[in-house]
Amino acid sequence: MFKPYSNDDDVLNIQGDALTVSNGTTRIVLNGTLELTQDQRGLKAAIALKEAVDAIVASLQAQGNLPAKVKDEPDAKPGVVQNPFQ
Amino acid sequence: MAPKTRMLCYSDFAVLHSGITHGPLWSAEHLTRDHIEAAKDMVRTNKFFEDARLPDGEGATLADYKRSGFDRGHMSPAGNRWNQEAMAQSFSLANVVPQNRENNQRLWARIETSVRKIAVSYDDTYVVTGPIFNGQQLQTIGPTRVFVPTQLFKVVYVPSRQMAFSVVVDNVSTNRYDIKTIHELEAMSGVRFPGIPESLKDQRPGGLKGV
Repeated sequence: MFKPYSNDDDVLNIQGDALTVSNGTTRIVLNGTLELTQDQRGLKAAIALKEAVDAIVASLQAQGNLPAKVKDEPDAKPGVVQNPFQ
Repeated sequence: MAPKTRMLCYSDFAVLHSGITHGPLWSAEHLTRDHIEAAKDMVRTNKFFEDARLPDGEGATLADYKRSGFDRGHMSPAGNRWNQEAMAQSFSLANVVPQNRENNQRLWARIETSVRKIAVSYDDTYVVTGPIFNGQQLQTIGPTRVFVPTQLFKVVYVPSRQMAFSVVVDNVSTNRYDIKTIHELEAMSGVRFPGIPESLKDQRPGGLKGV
């Protein structure tokens, strides 16, 4: 079950990893190319995508004080180590 | 590279994990035409997880990747897994490395797709994917100090075609990939591939279709 904005660790995979919906507490990211063919496979994928987007819309609409735009959070600065394999 | 390594077997892929890099050194899979066809039908909500078989401190944690700026880049891809259990297991942090986002989402995705095409064309295909750690200093992410690879490799071996080669990409936002022979990759990566006949290790095919 894909629960939008509930964590940073869920990924909904549709048609293997043709399209991925990566959950996040501040943003959800869709990646890939989905071929919705006129067959059972296409329908299955279309339903999965629709359910995910419907859940995202419902979750956003349910929040009373939705900001106009969330602030971009800067990434943490990476650390540095000496390469032990050199 | 051998100290603090552990073999982790999953239902349709296997990983050699390093407690030094806090990630995989390689992840190996056997692809068949039928399994790739089955994988294309998979719809599943997955969850990245820390493998409980690794002692504390050896594996990466979910917190390490949070706001790291890097994707959790699969080595054996989720899109090659042909059943629910295997797809869930591919989200083990022992099967991912910190990967440049654009690289993962564009170039690497296209390389994975072209390898699937090889498996669909020729059936039995053996694939090993892993990181390369090059240079005097390395970047790390998170409190565990997970090593960020400088490059990624993918080895493809098709016994029926007597074909073996590798693909190497820099772990940056790029559309460039290099085809290397298995011998060249062994020298670059420090990983040996004893399952591939020595007689095939100097082949260099032209490139990948569709990348």
